[in-house]
This record gives sequence, C-alpha cells and structure tokens, in this order.
Amino acid sequence: MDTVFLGIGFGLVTGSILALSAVAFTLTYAVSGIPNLAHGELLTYGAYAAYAVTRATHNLFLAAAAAALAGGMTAWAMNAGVVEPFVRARIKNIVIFIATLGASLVLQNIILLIFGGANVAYVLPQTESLQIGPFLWTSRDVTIMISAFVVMLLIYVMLQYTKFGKSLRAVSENRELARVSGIGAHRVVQFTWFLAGIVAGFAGFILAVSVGTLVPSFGFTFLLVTVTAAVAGGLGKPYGAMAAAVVLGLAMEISAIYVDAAYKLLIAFGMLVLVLLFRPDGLFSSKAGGVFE
Amino acid sequence: MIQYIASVATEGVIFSIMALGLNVIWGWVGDFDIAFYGYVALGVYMAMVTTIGRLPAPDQYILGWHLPFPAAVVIAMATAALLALGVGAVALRKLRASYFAITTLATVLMLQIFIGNYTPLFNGYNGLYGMEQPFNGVLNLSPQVYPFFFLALCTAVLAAVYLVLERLSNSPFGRALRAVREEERAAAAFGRSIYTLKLKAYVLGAALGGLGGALFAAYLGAFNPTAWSPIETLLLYAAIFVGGSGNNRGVILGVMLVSVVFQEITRFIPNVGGNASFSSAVREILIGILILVTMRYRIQGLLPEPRPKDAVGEAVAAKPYAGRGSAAD
Amino acid sequence: MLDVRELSKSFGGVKAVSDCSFTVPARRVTGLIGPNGAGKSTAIDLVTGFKTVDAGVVRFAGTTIQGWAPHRISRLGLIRTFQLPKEWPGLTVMENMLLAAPEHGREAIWRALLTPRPLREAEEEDRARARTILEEFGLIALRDELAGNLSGGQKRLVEFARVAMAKPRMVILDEPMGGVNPVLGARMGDAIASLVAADVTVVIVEHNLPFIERVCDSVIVMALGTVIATGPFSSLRSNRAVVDAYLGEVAASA
Repeated sequence: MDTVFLGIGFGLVTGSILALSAVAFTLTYAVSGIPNLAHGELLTYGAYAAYAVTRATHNLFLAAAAAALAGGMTAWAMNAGVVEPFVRARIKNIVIFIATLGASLVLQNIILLIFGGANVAYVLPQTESLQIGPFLWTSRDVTIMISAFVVMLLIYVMLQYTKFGKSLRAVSENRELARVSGIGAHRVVQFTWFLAGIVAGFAGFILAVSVGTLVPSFGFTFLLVTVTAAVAGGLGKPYGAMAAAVVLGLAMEISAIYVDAAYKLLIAFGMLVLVLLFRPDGLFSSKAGGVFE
Repeated sequence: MIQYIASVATEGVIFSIMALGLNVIWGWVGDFDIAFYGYVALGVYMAMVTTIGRLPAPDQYILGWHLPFPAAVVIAMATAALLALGVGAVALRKLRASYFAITTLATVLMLQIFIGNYTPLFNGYNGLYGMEQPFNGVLNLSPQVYPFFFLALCTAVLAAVYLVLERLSNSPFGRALRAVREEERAAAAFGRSIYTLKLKAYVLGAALGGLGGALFAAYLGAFNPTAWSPIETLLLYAAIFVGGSGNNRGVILGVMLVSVVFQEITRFIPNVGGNASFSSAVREILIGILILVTMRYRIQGLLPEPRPKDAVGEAVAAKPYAGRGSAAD
Repeated sequence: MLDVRELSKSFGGVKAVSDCSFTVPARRVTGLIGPNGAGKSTAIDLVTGFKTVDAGVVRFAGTTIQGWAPHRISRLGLIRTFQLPKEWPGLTVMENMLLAAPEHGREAIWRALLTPRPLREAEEEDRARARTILEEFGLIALRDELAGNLSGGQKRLVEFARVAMAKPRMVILDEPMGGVNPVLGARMGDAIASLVAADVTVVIVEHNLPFIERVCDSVIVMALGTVIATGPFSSLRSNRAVVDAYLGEVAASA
C-alpha cells in the first residue's frame, strides 16, 4: 500500500511538471493551429540555461528566471523565424508541422554544439524528506509542485481576467475573425508563443531539477509525453491539458511500480495512441469524430 | 581511396532504396510518417537474426537461423510490411494528418524502447553483430574485391526497385494514390476508398524500408538501438524534399546530394574545443536549415513530380503549378 | 430513385437535420432549395456518406445505404459534387477525367506490375471518351494542364466533365452555379440536359431560383432541418410556409 502512495506522490510531481509543458504546447497550438514538434527544445533551452546560471551564480532563483527567459526567447524566435513566415506564405499546415521538426533538429544540435553530447549532471544539494499524510516527498518535490501550481494559477488568471487573455481566446476561436474584428492577431500570436516559451522553459528547469541530468535530447524525449497530455486534454484547451497531465503523470508513475520502469514511457505512448484513436478531441470532449467531420 | 568511394556509394544506394520507399508514403499519397526508420531497423534486425545463427551465451535473441541472404531479405520485408499493416490499419483509419504523424512518432519510440529493453527479442541495447557478407560463402572474394560486388548487388536491387516503382507510379494505382493526396473528398466522391489506398501505400513503402534495412544489415555487419532514431527518418525526408517529392529520380538525386555528398563533405569539419560531436552537430544543423529552406522556397524540390502528357505531337503550354504545398487547408 | 426517411443529424446538441423525409424520382431533375442554414448541405452529406447519420433510412435504387462509406455509395452510381469545385489540383485535366471513370478494378497493384500493356490498352477507351467529353466542354486544349492552374469557371466545367465521365445513375450537384457567369451558366444548363438525356437522375442544390425554375421538374424546400414543401416550382409561390420561410426572406432582401 505504501508503494502505491509513493507512486501517487511521484505521479503528482511528474504530473505538475508535465502540466506546465502541456499547457505551453496547447497554447501555441491554440493560436497557430500547428502541433509544435520543436516544443521539447523549449524545455531543453530552459534547462541548459538554468544549468549554466546555476554553475555561475549558485542562485536557484536566477536559474529559474534564466530558464523562463531562455524558453520564452526561443519560442519567440521559433514563431517569428519559422511558423509565422510559413503561415504568411500560405503553406499547408502539414508542411509547417514538418518544418517544426526541422527546427527541432537545428535547436537540438545547437545545444550539442555548445555543451557537447555527454550527460551533464545537474545535481543540487540534498533536501530533507517530508512525510505529508501518506505521501513521502522531498522538500524539493514540494517546491516543484507548489511552483507549478502557482504558474498554472497565473495562467488561469491571465486567461480569464486580462485583456490579453480574452484576445488570446478570441484568436484561438478564429484567427481570421479576430484579425478583422480589430484584435492584433499577429501580436497576440507572437506574445502567446513568448509566454508559452516562458512556461515551457520553467518546466524544463524543474524537470532538470527533478531528473538531475541533462542531454541535448532532454526535451525531445519529453515531447511525446507532453503531446499525450495536450491531446488527451483536447488540443488547444489549456485547462484540459493541465488535468490530463496530472492524470498521465499519475498513470505513468503508478504503473512504474508494477512494470519495469523502462516501460513507463511505453505506457504513456500507448495511451497517446489510444486517445488519438478513440478520443481525438480529448478525454473530456463529448464529440465523436466521423471521417470528414 | 577507391575502397572509401565504394563504401560511400553503397551507403547512397541503400539509402536510395529506403528513400524511394518513404517517397511512396509521403510523395505519392502524402502521409507524413515518422515511424519509417523503425521499419528499416526492423528489416536490419530480422535480416540479422535469420542469418547469423547462434552467438555465444550471454547474447540472446529470437530465431537465430542460418538462412541464405535472399530468404532473410524476404523475411525482413515481410516483417516490416506486417508491422506497417498493423500500425497503418489503426492509424490511417480516421486520423488527421498531424495526428497520424504523431502516432507514428509514438510508434517508433515505443519500438525503440521495447527493442532496447526486452533483451530476448534482439539482444536489447547490446544489439546484434556477426552478419556475414551475403553470397561470399560461395564467391570467396577477397576483402578488396567484395565491396565492389556488394555495391553491384545493391545497385541491381535499386534498379529493380526503381523500375517497379516507375511502373506503379505511371499506373492507375499510382494515379489513385495521388488523387487521395491532392483531394481526399473528391477521391471518395469518385469511389476511392481513401483508407485502403493509403494502407496499400503505407505497407508497400514499409516493405521497401525492410528491404533497405536487410541490405543495410549486410553493409553494417552489426546493429544496436543507439544506431537509429526518429532523426534518421528526418534525414531521409531531407533527401526527398531536396530531390523532389513524388519523383523517383528526384529522390535518388536527393539522397546522393544530401546523404552522400553533403554528409561526406561535412565529415571534414574538424571537431572544435574537444567536443567530439562538433562536426556531426554542424552537419545536422545544416541539414535542418536545408529542410526549412527547401520547404519554404522550393517545396516541389529540384526535380518536380513528372506530369503525364496526353497530347500526341501537340505543343501544350507547360506552366508549373505552384499550388502544391501552398494554399492553407 | 432516392428515398430518404426521417433523417436526423445534430452537432453538439444543435439539430442540423431532423426528421427529414423526401423522395427523388428517377430520370428527373429535382431542385433542393431553402434558406441558408436549412440543412441542405448536411442532408446531402448524410445521403452520400460524408457525414454519419444519427437516425433515419436512406435507400438508393432499392439498396439501403445509410452508414455506408462515401466510396461505396459512389460505386453504386451516386456521384456528388461540392460547393467549391474539388478538382485534384496537382494532376492534369486528363488525369482528373481518367480518375472519374468507374474502372476501379484497374487500380490493382498486380495489374500495374504484371500486365501494364493490356492495362494501357484498356485505358485508351477511357482516354478517347474523356477527349470527347472535354471537347464538348471546350476543355480539350487544356487537357495536359494541371487542374489547379485553371480559372474558377474552368474548374466548374472540369467538375461537370468528371461527373459525365463517371457514368452515374444519379448526381447531386451542390451549388453548381456558385461563382459562374451567365455564359458558363448556359453551358451548365446544356450539361444538365445531356445528363438527363442519358437517363441520369439529377438533384441540384442551388440558391439561384430562376435557374432552378428553368431546369427542375420539381422542387424540395427545406427549412430548419426538415422538408416543408415539395412540388413543381410554380406550386410553391402559393405555399404559405415556403413564402414565410424562404421566398419571403428573398422578397424582404430584394
């Protein structure tokens, strides 16, 4: 029974990191209509920036800020340099989608160029264990969860109560309509990417803290899990992504108790395939898709 | 030097076979499949476990047969085709284009994790080794001569694949596939089962991937899960985009340019600052940029898809259609 | 020819088509009209299998076809067009024509590999027929042009030529006059007449009422997802429900 709670504990940590990553992914999808296959690199850039700053200053707040900024700038560049020019040239969505994979290749190898291919240890000092109810966490785990929760709360407030949030929702409903009705769709899209990058960069930082090692493909391996959560939550729906991420995190970590941990990604991808097949509009959607609907 | 050229040429020929297979899926019918290198890898593994017999004790893997190479090729193709049939039957049923691509990405990663961790299948992360040179048991060629024989063998296979694909491409079957690519609804409205046609193309392409894999197995001699990743598929795509999607000759040209000339030239980039990955990183960055530039400015590639002519002896004003790949959908 | 009983379809709780019933007589031209949002497009998508039916029965030439995939319905000889012409843009006009021919058996892989010559010879007949039809539509000079390079009007004509090529038993034309100039319109009228002369049953969904009046033998009027009247066009002017739902709207906007 204890191991189950241990799994749930891990699951909540993984789920909260995943939730940030998935929200960022789903927000860029909401405004651009393209699943961004270079999303994983936002986490990678955040993580490596945090690593570099930690080594230089030993200040984790600065590291977190650097991660967010690196993610935000990378995402901004991705949209301005790849996605928007392709959209403006009226190139098919599937081609833009492929272009994001090309961007992922470039970004991953820039990291390889700078930091080399070897594992980089990102080990922070040990923290004490906390017994909270039936759960056993380290105080770092708790910090991760609280910070993720705070970021999600901020996203919620931003979406519901700010003018930008309203514009973002309008653009994701209909880009063309938003454009003609005077909302600066272009600026909203650009800023959304920047914001999503900040969230993803921060997610990369807390993922790095929780995993402890970095490689250039660090974010790419997290991409599909992110996509799984985002799709399960209904692509383009931020709250759906958050909820699905927590469910997925729990499913992965609890299953790791019963099967070899190496296979827990297999379970996540298996879930992705099932969701795509049976609930392509997300777990929480009531719509069943037809062939051409 | 001449050995080196033979080796590079053989690699180019084998990659051409793989890329022609992938082109059936992407160029003809327009599905973006990221799992393709998984079918190649499966071909490699199957060719090995059916020819190398039993390796000494700690290594474990299925079959362990000692079949002649042609039989291994058939098994490699059939296995790749079978897996593609399973994946395609599920993923092509009603998925949007990007969902299909994501499903195939998940598939290839699952395959990689499974093969790496489940050692009884293909010896896990240790991989397989000890593949013999095909037909050299009979021919007994010297190590100086054999590479040229193998190059000739691979070239003959490429020629056969090319002829078969040209025949298919110019047939009503090839035309129906392109109709599905160009406008699915119209294809359905005129009696085409989109699903069946896509599935046929997918299985055909994967079988060619398995064929390329079997030859690659003989070329490499050893193989393990670190030797392949979704990025390999992307490199094949780079060759197809540059050469010309849908054009068999263009695809071969693209492989020769991207996977051979480009790869070999960038091999001479020195490693800077003690970073052993420096030159490969530069190469992949350049390939990524090449992909982006091609997609943005010349989506039809160097050799666009050929256009069949009906007019006999009449001059018809040929105007390229710029719309392929443009017009948001 | 076509018998539709109590067809229903809703999207996310909104009923697009509800309890819609009508019949289309064989070898006649039937108009399907109604104000925007009446459910006409959904109804033909349901009949041709492009959308899945929630409830109801569709019979075509005695065969119950609801729930069938679009290509199976097409292979029974029920061919449809779309509001915007859906040519195969990257293929030539001739390829567009050959693809419309009802000869799906020729697309077997083994035939392409093993018997390419007989296959080509068999296709020569189709090519000849395609040339004749293209000649009629004035498209013959464009047969090696990519369909995507044609003008909007020419694409409409290709769409019609493809329908003729398919030897259908019944066609459903979805707004064939959309974006068509009067000269081209006359040609469309001729094309429809020659379909009827070839014993084809025709259904036309159209907003252009004068065109409907001129071409159709009878008319089905839809509003709010269901059929509110049927009969010859002339009888509808006096039909209160129709005037309220549809003609009134036109009169008001005129």
